[in-house]
Amino acid sequence: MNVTILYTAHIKAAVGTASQKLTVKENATLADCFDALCEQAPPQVRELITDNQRKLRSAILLCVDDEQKSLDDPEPLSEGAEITVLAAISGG
Amino acid sequence: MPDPSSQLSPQEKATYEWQMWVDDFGEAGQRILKSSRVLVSRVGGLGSVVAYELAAAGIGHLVLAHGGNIKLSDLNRQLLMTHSRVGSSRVDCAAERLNELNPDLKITKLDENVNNQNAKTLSDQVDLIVDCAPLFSERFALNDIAVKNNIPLVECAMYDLEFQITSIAPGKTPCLRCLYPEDIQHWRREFPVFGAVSATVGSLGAMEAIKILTGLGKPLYSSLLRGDLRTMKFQKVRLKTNPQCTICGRLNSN
Repeated sequence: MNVTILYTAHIKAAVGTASQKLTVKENATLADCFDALCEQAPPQVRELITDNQRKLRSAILLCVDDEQKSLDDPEPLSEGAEITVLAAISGG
Repeated sequence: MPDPSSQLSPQEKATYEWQMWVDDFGEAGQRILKSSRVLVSRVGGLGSVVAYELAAAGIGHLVLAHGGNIKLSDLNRQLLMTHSRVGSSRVDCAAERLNELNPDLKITKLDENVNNQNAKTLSDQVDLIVDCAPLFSERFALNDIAVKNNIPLVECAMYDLEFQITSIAPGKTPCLRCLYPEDIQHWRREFPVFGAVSATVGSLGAMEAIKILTGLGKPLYSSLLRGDLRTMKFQKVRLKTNPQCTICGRLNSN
């Protein structure tokens, strides 16, 4: 099935696009999608979203459609789900 | 706490006439604003507009914390700063501009950014905090003291043409540490942004402050509004509390 990844802020700038389609197995969870995303991401993007143990950086929130989700959320995603990679940003 | 019994002068009634026509606000809401005290952490791109809108709305007392002097590179977005004051104190310039707009506004200035040492003293003086700081160390210092002292907190942020905003009610909504349990890395102190973007989220932040103080409408509690002015797409995300949060976990479990 297909899901859409939406990038924000400096991660969007590093990826070079605001959104990207990702094909994952049927009934994939958020963790499955995240693994697939990390697998295909170029190193400079992977470094922004994961630490050196390939865990999600704590400065990133993941949202499925309009809801913040934990990476360990067991619920399978729906076809066409939108996963937002929400980077922490600040002021100035 | 704001005192809803404070009286408005005839001049104040004339000044705030249009907003007192707003349903569910009225003269009672204006009285609350008059007796309210708000800390704006940094009066830069975001905080200049937050402070200006609150001054225009008739807030009684602003506490402004911002260190350093005005630079040319501030002027594209820090709307309380002026070209003629480059090289002089940011917080002094901001206070003068605010009092030109609203001479009745009481202002407490601190020529220093928020840190773990001054956060308590600053927060003790106010009913609400609007966080516009660039450094996450300042944001976490404010979040931690706001939760401890049960002070509502509005979080405003921006990057490029994007913005994020959420409001925190300690013990009832996720706090900043629920969202980001560890210190933030990979954040550049200087980043691309237009003044129109900071003004957009600054206005939203001021409106959140007015809503929370006066009970008007529905604040962005447990929700984060994000927008991209490049595409004009907006999204409201429902946030979750972290029961293991080291700052508010105990409050939220009660």
